[in-house]
Amino acid sequence: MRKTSVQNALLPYIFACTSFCLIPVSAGAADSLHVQNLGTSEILREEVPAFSEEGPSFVAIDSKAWEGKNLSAGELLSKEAGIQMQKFGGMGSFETVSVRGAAAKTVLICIDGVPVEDAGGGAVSLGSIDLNQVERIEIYKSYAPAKFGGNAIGGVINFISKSEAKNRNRILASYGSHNAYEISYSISHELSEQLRFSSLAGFRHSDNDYEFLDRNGTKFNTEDDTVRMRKNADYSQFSGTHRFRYLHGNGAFSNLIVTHSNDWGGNPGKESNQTVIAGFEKSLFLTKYLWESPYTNSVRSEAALSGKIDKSVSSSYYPLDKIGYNYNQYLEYGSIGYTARPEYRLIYEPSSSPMRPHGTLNLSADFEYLEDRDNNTLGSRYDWSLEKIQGDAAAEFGLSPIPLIAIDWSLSGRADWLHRSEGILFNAVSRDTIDDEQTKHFYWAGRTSIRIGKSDWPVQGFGAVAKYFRAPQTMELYGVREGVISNPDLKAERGFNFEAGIRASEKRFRNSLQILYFETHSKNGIVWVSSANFVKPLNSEKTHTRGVEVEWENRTFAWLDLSLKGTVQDPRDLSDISYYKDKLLTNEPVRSFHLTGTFHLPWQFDLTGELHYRSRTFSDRANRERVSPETLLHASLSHNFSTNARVTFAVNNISDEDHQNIYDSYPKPGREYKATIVQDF
Amino acid sequence: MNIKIKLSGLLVSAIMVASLVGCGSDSSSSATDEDISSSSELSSSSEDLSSSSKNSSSSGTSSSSTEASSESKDASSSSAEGSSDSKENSSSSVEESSSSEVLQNSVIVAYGVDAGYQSGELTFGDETSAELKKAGIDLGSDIKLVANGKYVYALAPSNVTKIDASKLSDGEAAVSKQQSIGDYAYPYDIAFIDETSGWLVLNGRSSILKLNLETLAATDSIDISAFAATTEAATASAVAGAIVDGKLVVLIGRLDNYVATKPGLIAVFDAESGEFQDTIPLNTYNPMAFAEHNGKLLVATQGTYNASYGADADELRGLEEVDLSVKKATVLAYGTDFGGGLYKLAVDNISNIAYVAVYKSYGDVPLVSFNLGTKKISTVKNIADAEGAFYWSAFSTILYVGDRSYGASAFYAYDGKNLESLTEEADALPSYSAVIASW
Repeated sequence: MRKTSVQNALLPYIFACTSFCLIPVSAGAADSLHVQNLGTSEILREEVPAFSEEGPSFVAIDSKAWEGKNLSAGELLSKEAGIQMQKFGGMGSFETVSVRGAAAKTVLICIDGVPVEDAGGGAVSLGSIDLNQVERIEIYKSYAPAKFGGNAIGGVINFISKSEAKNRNRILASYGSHNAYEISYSISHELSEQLRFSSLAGFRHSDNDYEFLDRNGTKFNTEDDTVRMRKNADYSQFSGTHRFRYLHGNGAFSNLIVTHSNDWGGNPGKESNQTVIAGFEKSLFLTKYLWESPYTNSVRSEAALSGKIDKSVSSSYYPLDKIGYNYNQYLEYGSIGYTARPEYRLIYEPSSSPMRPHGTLNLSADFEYLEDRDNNTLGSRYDWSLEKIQGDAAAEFGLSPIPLIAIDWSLSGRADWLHRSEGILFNAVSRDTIDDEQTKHFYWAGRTSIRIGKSDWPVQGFGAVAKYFRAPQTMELYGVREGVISNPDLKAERGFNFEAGIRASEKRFRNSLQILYFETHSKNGIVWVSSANFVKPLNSEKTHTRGVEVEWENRTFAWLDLSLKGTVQDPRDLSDISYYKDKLLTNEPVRSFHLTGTFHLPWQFDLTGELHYRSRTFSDRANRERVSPETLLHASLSHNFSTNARVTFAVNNISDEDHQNIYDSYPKPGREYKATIVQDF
Repeated sequence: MNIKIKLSGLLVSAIMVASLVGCGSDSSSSATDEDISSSSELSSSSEDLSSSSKNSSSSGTSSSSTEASSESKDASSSSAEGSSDSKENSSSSVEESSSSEVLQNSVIVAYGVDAGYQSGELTFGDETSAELKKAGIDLGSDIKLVANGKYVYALAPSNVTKIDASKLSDGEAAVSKQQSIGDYAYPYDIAFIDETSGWLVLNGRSSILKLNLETLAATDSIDISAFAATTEAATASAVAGAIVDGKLVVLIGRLDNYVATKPGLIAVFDAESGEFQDTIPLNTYNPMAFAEHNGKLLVATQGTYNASYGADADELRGLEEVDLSVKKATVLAYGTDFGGGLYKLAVDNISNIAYVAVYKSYGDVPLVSFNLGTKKISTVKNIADAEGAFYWSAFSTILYVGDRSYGASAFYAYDGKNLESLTEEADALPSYSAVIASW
């Protein structure tokens, strides 16, 4: 069982641990800020499953939960109550999660606290996150702590890179179906009493050449259905983080962090329309300087300055790849972005004080410049550039007026200015020009939560109400692609979240139970609306999801851990559009659950079986395209050797299921095998 | 259920009009035409216009639109003949036809697509009831319909589905055949030679396929890559086809990377062998549709887009008349007269009215009528985005037009004077394509 230390009394210990830790990061930014706050993760098997101190909407998943189990980030997250996943293929493919009915694009994805955004205005793909380089995942369902700002109707998922708190060196290697292999290392070395160096890097690859049933897009003609091999779906990624950490004489720390990531592979297309050479390449390079003040009894601060270069380019050749633009030549289309980000954070956490007050103040700014990276006149309509300046301020404060009650408030605001350059159209009959445009916005968010009952009581109650936003993304405001119409008048999507529930635990049979009622409302949702040959983003979506999450854990027997996490919800589209109104939200089941059982066998063997179910869904807003219910079975067997080595053999999707609507089908791998060895030294 | 009616050209038309008007539905609205320009203005704008005006007024003996004409030829010769009669002799035609006591069905078959192009559904209903219900046949979200007699062909980006409209009440049992034609070949039209064969016009390929309509297998093909705007253009951008006087006539857009850099083109082939015969260049750019009228072809062109993806009211677009016998295209009216580019076209050959959807900008696509005799242009009110279904029925003399306005979509029947909403299910998708199947 995980134990996350965040209580004030443990802060000195946390700081001591994290002060000397080196924190590599995977494909994203690096920031030790949150690792310090939340402390280290230990796998301790407790008598009674413990609840998170962060509240009922917070879940932390430790790397032990996925190591060797052949799970992608999305698959791992979808085990949790209230979270639904959508995946479009094998390793590295596009995958997203929605939280409590809030669309994937409203869920803020962070890596070490730094937001990751999709330049195209959509949801961030979780498929490009290498879990081998992640120590822990923090899930804030329908909840955005102040340090993340308020741009998160669906909440926040924060991937924390592997911590070196244990001063651990490690090598991991795995091999599995479809020539999938992973190898990574992490090392930590003290160069002097004041200077420590750590390095973490990994490479992973899959051919993704699995078999699937190609229905050829003809639902009423089964004679042309054939079993085919997935083509042009290979995926590779090399990423790493390297860090120097220096202890100053006054107790402060300086950190220099360099993160890099390269992803490349094929873009295989849909089930009945496989491509030949279409592909993509993404590159990220980030460097960051982080200063951490000496720790005092109640106040500390941190300041950082980071710079990031982020490039993403797709390619296709229409005569072979029937995707993208109908064009006879090899096409490359994409963008490159340059971002500078100063941050400052002030933390107030007295170790002992009446009513246990605590709070944080977070200030950050983003200076971003984005421009096209195309070799053609279609991927971009002209030589464009976009500039964005954004400032975020967020404050959080909490106290316990009486020992029985803890109350927290947070308030955040964002102001931004965006500018799109002018230019001459590439494909103009005459010299048509696009004028420059600029807009300014201000958004705010807030949340209040209450917890009743002491943490050591067998029963606790809780409730929270929050209002968040999702700011329109740059490409939604200023589309620059062929056939995309800009809409600089877009408003932010607004979200209103509510939750209330109880949780209880008992020691006799070692049970814990949490039942939570939630509601997620959103309005002004941005959707792409087609007219004639063009699409334009409009504020027109309105949704309402209400449901109940149940989480139960049992450790009655020393040799068996049981866990059941389920959701029953009513995810509805409340759009004024008649054919969307009252329909189920896309990809949202009414019922879903995940049952896990781990048998602790003799001789250091662990056998885990998992059952994942979700009821039927629809792949379209109007609920015409039905996807049948899905039941998946997974199993893994692991063994710990005395030499600090652990070997795991996993089988995913044992019954080889793939339920997808014929008109929206991206084949998935089906049954997969994987063997992993981890060696600590 | 389809209701059998006694059909005979204008008799049915009269019944239809009477039933539609007489229903007095709440959704009906009086659509007062709004004059855009007068015939004198048009004729003064171009010499070609005045000459064509004479031609069209002096002829007026041909049948319906291209979309309608193919059904008319195959479905009911008496109907086609009735349709081709002028208004002056229509009453005698009614009397002659009614005496024949031909039993016929004419069924509206429509395909609806949502605003996000994720969902689609097939609906159908008898023309007399003007009520559409779901067929329960899931074909995807990007479907254009064409009809030949009782068979409706659903053209999806990568396949063709043959549907027996007489069995639509039976749901999926109405699907006779479905055949893949290659990834994203984008079939746009079928020029029906007869009941057993036709030419499939592909927009996503520089080829035209001859189909066996029983098996939907390709038996022959025509390479039209020579008509592409440039060697770099992926295809020749063919958009429509029809059989006219034993010839296969194909409308070619000649787009170069989505931009109309050259005027459109009409290519003529032998309808049986596919042998190339001739080309007729158009005067304007980016043709979207054509229709047969008085032995000539009317061609609607949309022209190029401006920087905001709007269509300027200029002379790069308009309505052209093509005389195949003399191989000449003449502009009847320009975009300056219509106020934008022409996106869709249907022709009422009885009243000599060409209906066009005029694309002005995103979401602003009014329905405009063009009197082929007087050259008078009028806007039909209460339709904001006529980019959906667009079909003139020779049987009922009704124009079916889909208004896809986001949040206010409707499927209308327009008899030349009144707009009436068809009765659809509450969550019906906005109409995208429609045809009349008849037998």
